[in-house]
Amino acid sequence: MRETTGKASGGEHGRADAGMNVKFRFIFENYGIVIPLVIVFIGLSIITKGFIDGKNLINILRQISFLSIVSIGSTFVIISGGIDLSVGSIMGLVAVFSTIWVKSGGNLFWMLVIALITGLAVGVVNGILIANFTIPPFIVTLATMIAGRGVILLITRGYNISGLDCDKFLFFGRGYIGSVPFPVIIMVVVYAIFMLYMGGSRFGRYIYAIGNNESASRVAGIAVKKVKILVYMIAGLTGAIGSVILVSRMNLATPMFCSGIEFDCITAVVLGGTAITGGRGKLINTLMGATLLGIVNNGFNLMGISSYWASVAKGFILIIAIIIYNLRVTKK
Amino acid sequence: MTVLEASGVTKSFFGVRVLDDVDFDLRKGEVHTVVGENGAGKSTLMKILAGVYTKDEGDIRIEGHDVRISTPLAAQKHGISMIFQELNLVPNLTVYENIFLGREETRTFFLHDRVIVKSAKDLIQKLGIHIDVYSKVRDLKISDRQMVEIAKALSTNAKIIIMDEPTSTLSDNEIEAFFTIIKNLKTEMGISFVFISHRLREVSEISDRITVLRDGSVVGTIDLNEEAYDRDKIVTMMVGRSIEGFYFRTSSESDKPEAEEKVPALEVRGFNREKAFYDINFKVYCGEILGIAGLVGSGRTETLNAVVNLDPPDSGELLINGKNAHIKSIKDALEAGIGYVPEDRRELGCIVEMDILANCSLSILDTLVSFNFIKKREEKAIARKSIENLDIKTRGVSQLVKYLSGGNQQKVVLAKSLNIDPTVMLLDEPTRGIDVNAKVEIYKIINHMVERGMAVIMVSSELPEILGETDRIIAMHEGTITGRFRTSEVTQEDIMHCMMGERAIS
Amino acid sequence: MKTIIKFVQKNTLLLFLFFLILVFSVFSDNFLTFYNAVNILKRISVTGIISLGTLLVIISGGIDVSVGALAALSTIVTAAFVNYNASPLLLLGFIVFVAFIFGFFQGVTITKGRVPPIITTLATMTIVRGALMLYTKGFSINNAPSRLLKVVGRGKMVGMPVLVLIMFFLYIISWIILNKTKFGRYVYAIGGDENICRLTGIKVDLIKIWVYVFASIMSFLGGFVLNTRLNVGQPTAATGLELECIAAVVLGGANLAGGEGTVSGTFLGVVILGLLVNGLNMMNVVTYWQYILQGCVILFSTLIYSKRV
Repeated sequence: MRETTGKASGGEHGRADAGMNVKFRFIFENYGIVIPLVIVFIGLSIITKGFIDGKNLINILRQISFLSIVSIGSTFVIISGGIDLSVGSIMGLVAVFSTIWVKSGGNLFWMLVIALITGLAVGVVNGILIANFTIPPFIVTLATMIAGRGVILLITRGYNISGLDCDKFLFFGRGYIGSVPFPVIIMVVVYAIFMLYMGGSRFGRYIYAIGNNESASRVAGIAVKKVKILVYMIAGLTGAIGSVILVSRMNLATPMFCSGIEFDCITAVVLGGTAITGGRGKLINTLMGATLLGIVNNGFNLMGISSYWASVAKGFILIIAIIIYNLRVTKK
Repeated sequence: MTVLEASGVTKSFFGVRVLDDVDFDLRKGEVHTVVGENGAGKSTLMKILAGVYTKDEGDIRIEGHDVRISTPLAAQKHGISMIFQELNLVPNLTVYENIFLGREETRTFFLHDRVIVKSAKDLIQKLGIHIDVYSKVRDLKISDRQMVEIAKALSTNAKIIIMDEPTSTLSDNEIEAFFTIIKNLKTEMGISFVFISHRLREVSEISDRITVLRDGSVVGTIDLNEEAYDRDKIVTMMVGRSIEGFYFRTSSESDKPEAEEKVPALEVRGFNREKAFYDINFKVYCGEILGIAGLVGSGRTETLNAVVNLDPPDSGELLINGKNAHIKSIKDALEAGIGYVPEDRRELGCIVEMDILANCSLSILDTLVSFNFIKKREEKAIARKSIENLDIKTRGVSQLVKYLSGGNQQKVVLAKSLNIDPTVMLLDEPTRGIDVNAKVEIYKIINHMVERGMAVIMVSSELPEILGETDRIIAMHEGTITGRFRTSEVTQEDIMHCMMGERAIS
Repeated sequence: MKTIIKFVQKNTLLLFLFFLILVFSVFSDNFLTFYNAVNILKRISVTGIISLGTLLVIISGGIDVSVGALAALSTIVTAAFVNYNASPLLLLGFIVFVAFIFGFFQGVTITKGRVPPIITTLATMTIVRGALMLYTKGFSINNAPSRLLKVVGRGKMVGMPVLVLIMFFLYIISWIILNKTKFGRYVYAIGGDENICRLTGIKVDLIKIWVYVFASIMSFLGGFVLNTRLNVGQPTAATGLELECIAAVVLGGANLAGGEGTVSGTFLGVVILGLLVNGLNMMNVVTYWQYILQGCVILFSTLIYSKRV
């Protein structure tokens, strides 16, 4: 029988200095990534031969496309206050199912259906365990990541699945429309749809609300559980789309397909300025974050630097980005 | 002999004076209870003594020496220990581990638990109870956990133990046992106790002296060794004040004759929830304000939470306009036209990290969409209208709510609820923590709501507010309704008696 | 009847272990021999050692997914040292030193930098694995013949393989630390309620940093032992080990939210998981069920423990 006693706050007055802080944070969060992006871009074009080359730029775009699509799901999840470590396993499952289907002569349309359903299904499992059973997101997605990888290994028995002789299938990852690679078009379309949706729909608003204050959202009548489940389903969906593109480009499904990709997704999201704690962030920022990662990767490649340097760099970047964000937040 | 003496203690928060020149003293081996309404300053005074807050002005003397208590650890060094309502025990540790947390015995690097286990056993024994010191705290019942906290205080050689609402979670038997222990401790060990409590009946049993606080000042101290316990006198001391004339329900309005066969806008029948409220029945009609008065722990907020299904009741019916409402979720409640302004506006009332625009429309987005997209123009129009109607002082709809003053934040919460076009509004402490000017504005808004035909239920801990703003009043005590009044026919004392659990007027 | 139920509830893990042993000994003649038991102990020794580190981290309310990467780093460091003919003492000293640095940085990032543990340790894992590949260019480093490694990897003392003895030794030390020192008590307390600990004056951040240092040291020691078993330093060693350790610790009774977990429980968890894998192998079930098993173990244990709280 305990009522909540209000905090001793006496009277309150508004903050006159609120204006400056709001502006600064707004700029930092929304455009903070732009400066490093431009700097790196310019820097690389000076240092690296072959960077500013039509073909190379198209290449970069193609490479970015797949990570940025997958990161859409992670963005939604992180803004809602959660985390998804199972993305890689979802993508692996989709890759395996797709290639097996195609190899046994299956119809491309149904392949897509299978792919999307797989992503959605795992997403639903994640969502229900997190929302209805209230198990912390990182535990649930850790478990689905492990179990999912196990299923992949079971099906592939450790072997690669390759040699799919289907040109239409390869189009996803390797095709062009005009001079634009198909994956890039998919990326633009998918981003456009989701950005529109996130920014303008009820659902998008609910995600921000829940990420900021779940209890208040509940009191306001928002169906918190439903929204959370949907968010993880989206993560599964975008993972599936990205996976189809990648597996088509590689024409190969490996047992360790996309293992660890969740790390890149989180990095792309965080680099873009989204707080790891949720409640704020924009898809366009994730796109820029993914772009930065893609450019760095490409630059390293051209300079003949091993991609493992990229791994090392990414790890540091992630930590430093979060620390910087935290420092800025406490400064206020 | 005086063990503690505080004089001239003054404390303000954000410019609002919470304690004003308070004198308080404590004798050795006495139980001194501090009573007062919510917000009278009892908790603040105690927290200052316990080192949780620092005073702005005043002196504190312990056994004659001036002391400075700036942190809880400093208070502990001076022998003062405070036990909060939310017990500070680590649930997965054992009793003895909790008692000596941070003060473990070690022999060359290793824990020498034998010593502290024995000390713990001794302390428990001294308290006269049987708790296995090896059991984990989370497996104990609440009354036992409280004992562990007392043992913890004793283990720091506390001479002064402050307890906030010590009996609020205990059953009658447990209360008896608790009092026996306290009596033992004070007579045999000379420990002095300061209790904050509302339960006057129990308090009179155990207290040696009672100090009444009101609006941050000491009204008086009664020595029960010299005077007989006079409940009425204490209640008068707690509430006796003139009601300032800035409330809006004029007597003519609140004297409206009760409509004979009118259907109530909302009716609660037989609401029950174990450990929260029992047999709650009331009606509220359009065009009236029903006030719910009660002290902390009386179950008012729980009742409101049950009405909107935030925390559903175990049993009972809810009727809207005479018909059973079948509310299974908060969304149902909103759709049925029930608006809710919760007590904690920053945590539950609104989302402070989002702007006014988003907050205003938060509950009505379903109606603001076309093909799932929010009609931004309409949304903005609604927000602007809210700002205008409620006179929210802001730079614009895109200002984040967290940068608004408390009063304006509350207006945003009100706007959010009003936008669903409710027939019934539930307000839980709508003017708590708001400065006087903003309060007036909120009352204006509430009055306007009623004029437009809404039914309003207002939970409040401020008696002047209840008496000045409502048409009818329900008093609650420990989950039951103990009094029903017409506001024009009742006094502060009457209500307070009911809030304390005394006479149940039907 | 009631006492039987109580007994089962209290000793579920132990009973499950006996059950498994029973089942496997029925299916396989060689199971219930000393030789096989020792074999199993050898097989689980690396996981067993590293799980101790994971245990402390989880009790304190955190998580550490960098343990596998750090173990791999340790195998490389060991191989490198041995190839330079360094003295065993120097080797071990250096391992502990490097472990300390890694643990320290992770701990500080988590406590002062306020970067969530999952992300900090995930980032460390990525950095270390990347760095290892860079340094080794993907190749393993073979051990030069070394007395130390031979003794540890293949030697026996008092009838038991040295590795197993090392594991037992570390288990005893960990038990002492968790149950007999202030530090251990505080780790449990912090996992239970950090804020109360701060109020009591306990240096929460410092203890957390030491917890991650401990985990790091266990990872490095485990990696050292792994090197002696494989007789090689591998940049890809111990992939996925972090998850196996988490599964073992959680199975052993630890609560991922913190505050619960025991050394003995972890040992049982490691053994049971090891047995399951071993037994499944012997029954010719495909190895990959391991992963599915681990995932299910984590989920299942969490569900059970969440009911308890």
